[in-house]
Amino acid sequence: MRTPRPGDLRRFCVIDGWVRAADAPGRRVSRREVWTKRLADGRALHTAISKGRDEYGVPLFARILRAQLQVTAAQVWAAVDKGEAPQRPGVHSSRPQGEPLPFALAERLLAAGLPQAELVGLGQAEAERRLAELERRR
Amino acid sequence: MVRWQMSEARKDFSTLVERASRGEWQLVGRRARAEVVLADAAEIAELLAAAFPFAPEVFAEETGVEIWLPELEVYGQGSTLAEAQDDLVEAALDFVDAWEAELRAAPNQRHKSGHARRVQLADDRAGVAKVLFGATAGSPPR
Repeated sequence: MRTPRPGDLRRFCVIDGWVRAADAPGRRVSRREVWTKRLADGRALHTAISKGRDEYGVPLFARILRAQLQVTAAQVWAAVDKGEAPQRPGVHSSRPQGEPLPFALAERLLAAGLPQAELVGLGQAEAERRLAELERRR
Repeated sequence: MVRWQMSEARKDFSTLVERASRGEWQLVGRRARAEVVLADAAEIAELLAAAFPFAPEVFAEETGVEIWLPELEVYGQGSTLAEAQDDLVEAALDFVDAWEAELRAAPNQRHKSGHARRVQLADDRAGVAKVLFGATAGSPPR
């Protein structure tokens, strides 16, 4: 699956008519670009483009599509590549792909000595088995 | 329980604050109806924590870590888990600013109220990290 860079999400927001929030006087200055959009049915969308990495993983991109942008990946690429603004039929209800690790489990695995690279692709059941194994060895 | 009329409350505000900080809720309103409550912030934070827990989800990638926060629908990224935590704290603060300013009346954002209020009640970035990741969270974000 093709995943975006921050510049792609910025371009999508511009093509789709999102409004970039300005840093209001007296308010905290953010390191992120915060964008919002009002839909005709009253829904309000929000996204904040992070500068934490220069790319997005597939599971995170799936969640951004479903929860924040409320469009499909094809609609994002049509906007980015061809300048076509998306049509939104309604709220997406399917569960996004990619099995997450609960935060506490990921933190305990790293604390127990598992290299971060070995977290990649680890499902919850396997992660729990690895944690038990690491804790047994201690 | 004492109910204060708006005019009395205005006059005796320091008494209301003192009682509220002792854990006594101070109800204020016009006529017999309570319109606002002055209460101890720590007690409110505790009540909200019990009702609105956070469950961040971690995605480890080849070149970094991403954390999704389903309750506010925001994310953090970084080359390490600690960097992604720091970025998520920033994302939660950004979200709460936008939520307070314009999102909270929208039908698809209203349900985030309890979780957004928890972030608002945190004293500082370290407090937000504690709210999102729990008391055992590793290195506190900058």
